[in-house]
Amino acid sequence: MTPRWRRRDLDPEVHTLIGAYALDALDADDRRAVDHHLDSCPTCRAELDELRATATRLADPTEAAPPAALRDRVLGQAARTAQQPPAADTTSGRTSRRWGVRVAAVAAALAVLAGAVGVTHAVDRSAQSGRTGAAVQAERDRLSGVLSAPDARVVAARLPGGGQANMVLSDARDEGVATVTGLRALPGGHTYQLWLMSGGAARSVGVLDVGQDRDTVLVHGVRRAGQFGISTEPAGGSRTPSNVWASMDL
Amino acid sequence: MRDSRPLPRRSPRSDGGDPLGALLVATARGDERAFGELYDQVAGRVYGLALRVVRDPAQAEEVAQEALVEAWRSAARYDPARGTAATWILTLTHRRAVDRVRSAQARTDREHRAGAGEPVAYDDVTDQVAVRLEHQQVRRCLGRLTELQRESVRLAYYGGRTYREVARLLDAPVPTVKARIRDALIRLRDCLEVGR
Repeated sequence: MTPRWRRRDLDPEVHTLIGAYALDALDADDRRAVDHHLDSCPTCRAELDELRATATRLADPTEAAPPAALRDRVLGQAARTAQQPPAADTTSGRTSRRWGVRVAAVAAALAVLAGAVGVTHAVDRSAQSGRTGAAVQAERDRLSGVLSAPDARVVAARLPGGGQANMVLSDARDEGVATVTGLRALPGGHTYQLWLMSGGAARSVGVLDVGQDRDTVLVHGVRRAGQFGISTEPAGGSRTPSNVWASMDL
Repeated sequence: MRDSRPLPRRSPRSDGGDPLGALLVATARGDERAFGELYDQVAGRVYGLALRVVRDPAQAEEVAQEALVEAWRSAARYDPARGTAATWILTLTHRRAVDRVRSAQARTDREHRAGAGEPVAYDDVTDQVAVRLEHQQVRRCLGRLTELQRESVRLAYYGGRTYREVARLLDAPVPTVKARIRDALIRLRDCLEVGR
């Protein structure tokens, strides 16, 4: 035991402080004690990584739109700020290179989905319908898979009235991620429904709630689909599109 | 009761399943465009977290800017084997936000605004956000904690308090709070199925 620990009433079981450490709930002395312990305890570092990932999830409900001017300030300051070299003992080189080849495709895909719409919107409804966390996570993984697919391509269209529809497609995966934003509220309890269409057939891929102005859906069977369509429907949606309001070729 | 059993190791993802990670890796190579896209993906969470902790828009903006520029500066230090890019960036952010509220001046301002030690209703967090999966899951999982666990986590993470301060605010023994925080995170981890 080091003198530093004895000075305070710190429990010699430093390990139990890892939870508080993951929440940044330690003062400087406790923090040094844990850092010291972590240096010689790979198991503790592994636990810390997991608990930190957990703690980060607590940030999810706090998401808020930053002031628009912040973007220019951050990018401007970054452009004037020199970057640190990689740590000498990094073990991530192999992973980094593997990711490197995918960056262009991912960047192209994400550029389209950037902004207010998060990928996670797509699974809101599945969460609401009581599916398990594992199923929801699987869907998130599929979303990520489409966005990072080497063959990912983007189709985008402006919607009447100022909204936007985007789809990232992977023909290899036969899946796509469609995003619609900026939809105007419809009168009379009507709503929007999303479709994959080919020839005369249309398959529903999502119904928005009345008043919902944006959505992201994971769709499969994109290879056979000729168009992505948005129709206006009575609340709850319809079996076939009543009125295709906008569509784009895939 | 001693509670230092090791937790089962679940490897964080280190493959291409973390699109933000790819942007962060590109950022580490000085790719300003990738950094711009990274900004677009995380700025809402960075700013929102900073705002939740420092409770002042101007200070939250400063904290967010510091954290994001730090992410640019030290992107090469990000190790995908230890967690996702979002976790890495939000950890930077949280640390800075906590440092900010613990500085004496900020604390005075903040307590003036928020009321000293006054717990903040979880609802006023949830009201701010769009309906989304994490929101519902986090709320549901927080609801499964004991009162002491939940309050401890809330005061520590959202309030920027040390566990000793949490113990004082909740009038609970320090070792108990310390243990409850760890128990709570383990329960949350299992409930949220974190650790991939």
